[in-house]
Amino acid sequence: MIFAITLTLFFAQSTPLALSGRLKAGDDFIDVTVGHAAPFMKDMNGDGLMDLLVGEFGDEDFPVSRLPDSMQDSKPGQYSQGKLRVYLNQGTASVPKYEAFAYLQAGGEDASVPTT
Amino acid sequence: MDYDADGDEDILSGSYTGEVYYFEATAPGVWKQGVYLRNMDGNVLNVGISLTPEAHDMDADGDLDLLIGTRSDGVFVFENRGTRSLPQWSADGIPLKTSPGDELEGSNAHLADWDGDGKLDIVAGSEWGGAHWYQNVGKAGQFVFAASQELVARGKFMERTEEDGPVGPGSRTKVHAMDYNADGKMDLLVGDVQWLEYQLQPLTAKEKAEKQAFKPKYKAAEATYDQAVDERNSHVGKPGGIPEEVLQRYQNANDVFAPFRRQWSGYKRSRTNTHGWVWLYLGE
Repeated sequence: MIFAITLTLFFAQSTPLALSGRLKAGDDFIDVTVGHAAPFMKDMNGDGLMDLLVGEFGDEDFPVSRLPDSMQDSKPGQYSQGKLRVYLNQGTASVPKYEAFAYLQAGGEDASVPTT
Repeated sequence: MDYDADGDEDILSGSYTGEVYYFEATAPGVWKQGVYLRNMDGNVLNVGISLTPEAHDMDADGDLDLLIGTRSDGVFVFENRGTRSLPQWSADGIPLKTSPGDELEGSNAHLADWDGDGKLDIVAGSEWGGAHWYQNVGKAGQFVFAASQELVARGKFMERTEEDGPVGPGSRTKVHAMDYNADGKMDLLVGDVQWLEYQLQPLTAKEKAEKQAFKPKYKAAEATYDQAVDERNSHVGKPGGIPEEVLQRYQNANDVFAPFRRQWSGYKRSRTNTHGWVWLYLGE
């Protein structure tokens, strides 16, 4: 009995999960460039619906000038541009639906971080 | 989150190279290109490779700290020694541990109230796949973590083809917890990377003959390269590290071997596609 109580204190009930499947945009599975999908949800356009953000590894060269000083001798193409896809929710709060994505913009270009 | 308390939402991102990139909002929904953060000593804030940050007041002192998950080096808190509007990051991160004493692990460490008790827990992905969580068993405003509990089992590694398709999340999982379908239950998004194999057309007779003729030259170049690798590795972990001349010999051997390696791999008939999917788990 004491053992069971101790377990309850340290292992609280969490919701069991069931795999629903892979998210789609239109009829296609969302499959990011060079993988390493990193999802997040936030209302990006203020319509009260949560939108889907997905980070990706990317395959374009990351500009060496934006790297720290210690990495300025890096060769072009050594690092890639990891970008953030924004899929606006075209459905409802209970049935989100996504179509095309746009990359998050920052400073007049695609927002990016270095990947390798 | 509002990094500098000026009323608009900024963005923080990790990177593979280990820096935290800050995208400052200049107006709601308008951001500057990302720049890497420095710590209070003026050095680049860096705690490992492939990291993910979240900003939250971890020590209940009224400003935002950084919670950072890393690919395989643990989960760290960088304390804000400045103010709410002008963060100054500690030079060293504090590795988080559970109350039993184990270091937290997570290729991303995501704050969410997973059990609905009003306190933020940590939900984490893993380099090796799956997802787990650390229940916050501290008092309000404190972070005391219980031992890791599995949410999504790690899949067994197996080579799969494009034709087979995936069966579940792969590696380097990144998670996000929320009520996805507004049914009042916590759900989980799991992003991944995984590689599926496909086959090229078989080599022609001419290509097979070319490969056979090339093989002795490839093996000779590989043996020379392997010697340089062994010499380099023999210095790893020893006082003084790897001597500069040894590193140079390794680099020279690698430069000579690279075209041989490229040509040899061109004869392989199997290739892989890299995928990154987002898997939805719904709370039952």
